[in-house]
Amino acid sequence: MGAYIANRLFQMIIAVFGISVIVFVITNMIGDPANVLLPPETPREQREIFREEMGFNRPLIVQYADFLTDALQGDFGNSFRTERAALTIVWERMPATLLLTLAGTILATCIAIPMGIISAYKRHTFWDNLTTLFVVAGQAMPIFWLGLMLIIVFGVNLKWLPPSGYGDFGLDRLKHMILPTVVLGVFLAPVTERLVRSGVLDALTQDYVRTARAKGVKERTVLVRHALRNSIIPVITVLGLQFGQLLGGAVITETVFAWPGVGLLAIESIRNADFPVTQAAVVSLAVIISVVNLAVDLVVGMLDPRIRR
Amino acid sequence: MATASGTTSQVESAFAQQRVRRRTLGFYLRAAWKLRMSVIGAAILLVLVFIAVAAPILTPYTPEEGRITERLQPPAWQEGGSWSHPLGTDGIGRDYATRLMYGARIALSVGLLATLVAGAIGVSLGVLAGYFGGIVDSIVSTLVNIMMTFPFILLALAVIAVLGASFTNVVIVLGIGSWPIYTRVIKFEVERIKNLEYIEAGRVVGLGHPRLIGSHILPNVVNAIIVIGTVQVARLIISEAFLSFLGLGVQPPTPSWGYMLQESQAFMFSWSDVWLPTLPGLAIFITTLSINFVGDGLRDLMDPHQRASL
Repeated sequence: MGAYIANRLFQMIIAVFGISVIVFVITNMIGDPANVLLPPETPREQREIFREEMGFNRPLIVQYADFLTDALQGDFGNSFRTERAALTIVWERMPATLLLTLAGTILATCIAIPMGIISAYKRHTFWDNLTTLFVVAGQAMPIFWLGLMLIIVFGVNLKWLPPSGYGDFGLDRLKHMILPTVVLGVFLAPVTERLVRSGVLDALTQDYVRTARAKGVKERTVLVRHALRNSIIPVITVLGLQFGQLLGGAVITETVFAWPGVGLLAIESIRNADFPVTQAAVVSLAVIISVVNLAVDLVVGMLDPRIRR
Repeated sequence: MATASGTTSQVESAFAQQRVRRRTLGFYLRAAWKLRMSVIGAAILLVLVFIAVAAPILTPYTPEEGRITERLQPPAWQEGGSWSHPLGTDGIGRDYATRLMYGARIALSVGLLATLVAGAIGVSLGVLAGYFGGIVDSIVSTLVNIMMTFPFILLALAVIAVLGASFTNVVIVLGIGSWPIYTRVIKFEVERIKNLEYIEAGRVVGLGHPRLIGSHILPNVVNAIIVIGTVQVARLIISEAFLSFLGLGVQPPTPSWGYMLQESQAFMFSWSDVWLPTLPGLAIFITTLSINFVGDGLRDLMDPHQRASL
């Protein structure tokens, strides 16, 4: 188990390192920071002096070494716009992203598990076909359009719910959360349903289910305690591995609803060529994704001794 | 020498015989009924392709030019609409149906081309990693790991910000951003296949790596590639629409469904203009839905375990 954890940790560090290289190279190609930071009428000589002072004229690899040394100490530099520490700005936005992600995951799970069980148990019936239709439709749904339509119908015209934004702590926040959560839930539920369905289908053919039925266990108990519980581990594993995609969905949702999370921040910073913030946001997301992947791996390893190597 | 090449051709003809299997008309009819959703999906997709290709013949208008005097006309079935603009006009008087038809060109071509780019990269890396293993596998797996740890849409946005928004760049970015899914699946398939007896046999009769990969391994993973690729076309159409929605996709005045959605946001404050944001989204949804239904059917057809139930 120790060697396994060490190996996974090593892989994780390599991945985060690789991402830091990619994001550094890309952000430095977006534009000359001097153009972003200085007013357009600045004379050439002053630009050169400025680049010299800031170290923008050094070879990229030297700049990267500097960037990495500072980043490892949690220093991504200051935002070009607000002059505040980039990492601080990113982490101020993190709760909003995590809140949305968590709410979306819970909603998706609440939809997907019952649907998956019904679909597997009533295989090849009307109910199975209906859920399959929902799943295929959900996977085909452009969620940013779904968000837009929800805003138009429930936010702007019926005025039942706030169309966008974060709201104040409390009931107001909950109201602001509803539409984005639905969108993220629709994004995530189909994948989850497919995993639950195939897991339960597989479990239903296993000997332990036959044994449970033979000894007279109630069908409900067989489904929940034997079939579902055994099929949930692969569901958690795959969802954990797809946490990156879930955050991708969160980025899209945040953009549509002006939800002030890290995704929206990253998109704004890319548009404003505010490199320190882009770098801090992307590296932070990558670290979180890696940690979640690793945590899922370890938890699953503990739950299921067969996986331990 | 003569004996050796004789053996080779015998081995190969044995392979060829294994691949051929005759099917009756009844089989296809039964399969079509079981796969009716996929058949409907395929039919809708064909219509969409036809509309995209024949757009200039099908409409008297051009997608870029509008008459400002005819702006914001509702669709024909609503009050105030007319059949000269069946789906109404947009904010600067361009025929909405025409723009949607030309939008299909962008969506379908970006989706298809980006999928080809991603497939080419992903399959090559997957085959190399699976076939050679060792250090090649480690490098490829690390790359896949890095890509999977990176929200794809952010990568796409950042790269577009560097390269500038254009048709070609969107295709490249979506292609480069979505290859790992092929690599992961193909690698495992190749690892499984390369230890089978017939590959061993091919190696014994002296076939080289390129021949073994090209003639004996690739044909066996083609099905998996097609199944993933189909669904990916739909996913990438959505991604293209989102990039365009943010103004980072194919540039106006070229009509793209995503960009039309962005423009329609100016008219979201009243019920009477609601067709403007509804129609481009529906166009995306119908396209991706029919592709996904086709993909489902292909998976059932090509997966031998599922095929047994047809």
